Amino acid sequence: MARGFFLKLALTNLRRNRKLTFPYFIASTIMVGVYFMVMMILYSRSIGNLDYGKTIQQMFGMGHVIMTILIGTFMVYINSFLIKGRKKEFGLYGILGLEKRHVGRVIFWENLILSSASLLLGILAGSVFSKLVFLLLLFAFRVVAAGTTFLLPWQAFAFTGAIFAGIFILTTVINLLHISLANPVDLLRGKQKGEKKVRFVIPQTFIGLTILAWAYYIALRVDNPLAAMNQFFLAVVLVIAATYILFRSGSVFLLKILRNNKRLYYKPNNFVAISSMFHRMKQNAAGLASICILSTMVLVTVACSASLFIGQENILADMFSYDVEIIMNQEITQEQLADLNELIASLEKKHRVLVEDRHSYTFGKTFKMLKNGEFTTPDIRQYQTIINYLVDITIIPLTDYNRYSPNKETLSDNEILVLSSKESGIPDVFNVGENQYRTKARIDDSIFSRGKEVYGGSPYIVVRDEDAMAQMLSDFNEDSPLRETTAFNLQGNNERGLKFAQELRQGISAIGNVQKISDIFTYRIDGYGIYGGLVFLGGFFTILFLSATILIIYFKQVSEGYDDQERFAILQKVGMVDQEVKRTITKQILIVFFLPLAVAFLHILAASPMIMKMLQVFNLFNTPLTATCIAATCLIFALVYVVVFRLTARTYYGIVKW
Amino acid sequence: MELLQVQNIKKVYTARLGGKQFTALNSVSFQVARGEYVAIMGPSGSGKTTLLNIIASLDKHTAGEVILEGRSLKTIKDRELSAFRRENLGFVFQDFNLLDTFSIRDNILLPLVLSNTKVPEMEERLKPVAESLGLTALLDKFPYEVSGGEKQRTAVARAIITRPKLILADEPTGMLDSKAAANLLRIFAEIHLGGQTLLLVTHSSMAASHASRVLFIKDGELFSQLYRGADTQKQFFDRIVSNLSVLSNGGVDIG
Ligand SMILES: Nc1ncnc2c1ncn2[C@@H]1O[C@H](COP(=O)(O)OP(=O)(O)OP(=O)(O)O)[C@@H](O)[C@H]1O
Ligand SMILES: [Mg+2]
Repeated sequence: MARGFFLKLALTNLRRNRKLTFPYFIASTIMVGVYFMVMMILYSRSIGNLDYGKTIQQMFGMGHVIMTILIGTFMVYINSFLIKGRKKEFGLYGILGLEKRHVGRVIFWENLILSSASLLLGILAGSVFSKLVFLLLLFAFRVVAAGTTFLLPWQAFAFTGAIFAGIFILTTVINLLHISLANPVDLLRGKQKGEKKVRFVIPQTFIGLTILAWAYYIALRVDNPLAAMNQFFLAVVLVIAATYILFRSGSVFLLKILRNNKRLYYKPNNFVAISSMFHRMKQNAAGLASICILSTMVLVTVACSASLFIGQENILADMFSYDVEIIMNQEITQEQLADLNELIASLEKKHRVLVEDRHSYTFGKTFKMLKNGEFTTPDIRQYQTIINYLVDITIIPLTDYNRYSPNKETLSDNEILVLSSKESGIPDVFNVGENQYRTKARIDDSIFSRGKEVYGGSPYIVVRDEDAMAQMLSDFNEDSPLRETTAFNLQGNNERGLKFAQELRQGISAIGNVQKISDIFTYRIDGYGIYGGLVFLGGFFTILFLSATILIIYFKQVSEGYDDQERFAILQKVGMVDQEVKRTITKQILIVFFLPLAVAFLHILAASPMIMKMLQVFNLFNTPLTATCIAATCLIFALVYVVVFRLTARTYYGIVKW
Repeated sequence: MELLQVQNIKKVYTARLGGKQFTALNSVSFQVARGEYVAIMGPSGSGKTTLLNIIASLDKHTAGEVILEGRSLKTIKDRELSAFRRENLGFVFQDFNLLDTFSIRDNILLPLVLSNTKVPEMEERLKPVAESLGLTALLDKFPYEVSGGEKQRTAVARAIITRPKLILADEPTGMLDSKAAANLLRIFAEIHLGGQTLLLVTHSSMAASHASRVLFIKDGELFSQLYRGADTQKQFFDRIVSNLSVLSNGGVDIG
């Protein structure tokens, strides 16, 4: 038989099966496009040359491995939909006298046409959108794109081509195996044979529940950010496993119980609903579990990126109580201080900013663990829990405190004041080293501890004088010397603040005895790079997960539709009232499609404490913000899900023809 | 009074596009008495399925009356049709029409469940039906796990479990081999002996020879009918065959 014949047959098949092949084509085009753009970002020199381009390239370097695996798995998965629905057709070919190798050739051609078309279109779309991505990146980094040229790197084309050629070969081999392993009769029966018996339902359900409980326990119990980071991956794996097991056996288990209750089961509505659900869950468990997992991933990704992006200012505010902080040696002379003040004043004028809340003081610093009112030296071996108890204590003298405070305090030996905007955990009476200290008063509002944020404020301890400071430091086993600092806020935009800070940094090198300057403006720019990059990566993952979710929902709807069409007709013939049939089927479809969403929300709910802890690693302590982001993401996702469901349901009803 | 009266039935199909009309049935009239076993034969395309669907209220006729136990089908409202069908008629389809989501047991019980029958009563009714059709051992299997003949027996069980006034069967032996077909015909004969009224559409003279009367349809019209009377089955079979050859002398392939 001529090659032209197989090609023509392949083309006809693609057109005839367009209800399935077209979405497959769209899906693989999206996958190619996304992959191409990821590769583009990874290898583009234009992006690498941007201020924070290297940072984002590193992030994508890590992300793209996971992405490649995901894309591969997903393509194989939706390919299985395509092939499963057509087993009957292949069987028919066999009976009509086409040899298996001929059928194989048809399948090869079909896959080749589909794959190469989507590869071409995907790369084309990817190239077009790459420019857009580049512009978005410039925006995310707040970079003014003067004279930046943008070129597509050859690696993007090469790697995308290679990966998808690999996927093409893989799917073709899988399809050919399907054909060659089956005899025509099996193929003809294909669909019915798909009905699997689920074995060991009770133990499986039990195991599934145990794993889920374990995962939820990890997520709910986690009490510090580092542990959250460490255990997140484990929790994710457990949740995925539990979801798959429970969707498969848990649902069967539940329905079996319902079915064994004869009084309940043999009621007209329940009868049809329960047994169809039984059938559906057996067939769809894997698909539904996948929808559930993917949805959860979308939710986590979007919620995290959004929290970080929106929470940038919170993070900065937490890290920098004051916009600029200058640290000096205690030996600094009056002349040097005068020089510094002059420098600040001149820069203030030059960059048209206003220095506010300026305060200067002598201080000593120590990092200690404070657990149950006792101070200990941090032990690196306990790194997971350290972060919960670590306190960053600043000790200042009474004179400096009184200078900025409206009510003047007095302190005797071993008496202290605790300045902290939140509960510090420092007890009323405590022993350090040789000495016993008494807290005379706790002051929750002072210029020292006020800062911008209330979430992570560290405590200040005020002691009588510099001798007492030295005493306390030595009690704490701290050998770093006393230092001087001056801190202030700047009124003015970030650009001017940044220039101010840069020139201040240059200026102080000439003064001497000034150790360092930390400022919010420089870090803010760094943040754009890091968080902008994270949001970007999150965006790509979201596109990937979301299109996968939508596609699986679509394929499910179509295959359900073909099944129900027949069932619907039979039920009517046997004497079920039309409206009744419609109602029960609609209800089942709703349950089947919204179950994954409901479970995804449950997962998110359990994961949110963990997510909040994890974001603390990035210094985001604003839990209300994170909670809001999670809730908003869920809400928006639910809306998208409903829209997707409605659109695909239309296809479903079109097939069932009501 | 007759159980079923078919009076001057006419069925006109209108093509969806172009409005071309086709008359599938034209003034067909006959009556079926309680306890009768009537076979309907005729060439392919002669309108047998159409006729059966109309009697089954699955399809609407263009003119004429179908009266079951003195009640005209036309007077039944659309939303009552399903319940009417469930309570009065039993069907056996050529392609079984079993639901693959139900076990054999549940497939048989389906019409009873739909009419809200109590569980003990359902079980009571199921037992003899399953036994007489040899399905007792298969009750917990699913349709895709049993043979064609077993599926068709399940369909029969589903049709008779409601104790319908009339059983309608459209080529129920069409998908069975000769042994399974003979088995099914024996079952029909037994049901008939039990007092059940049966209406059977068939292409097989063998199947028709079990009936007490055979109606011949050609080109949508009632062509002739044969009563079995006191004939043995063999004699009746011969008469049917010779009558069919008369029918096909009209130049129609009897399929
Ligand atoms: N829905 C329809 N629309 C238009 N014409 C129809 C429709 N259904 C049946 N017909 C036509 O009506 C005629 C009778 O069809 P019917 O199915 O009753 O034949 P039949 O006697 O059952 O044939 P067979 O023995 O092959 O099953 C046929 O010519 C058929 O083409
Ligand atoms: Mg027919």
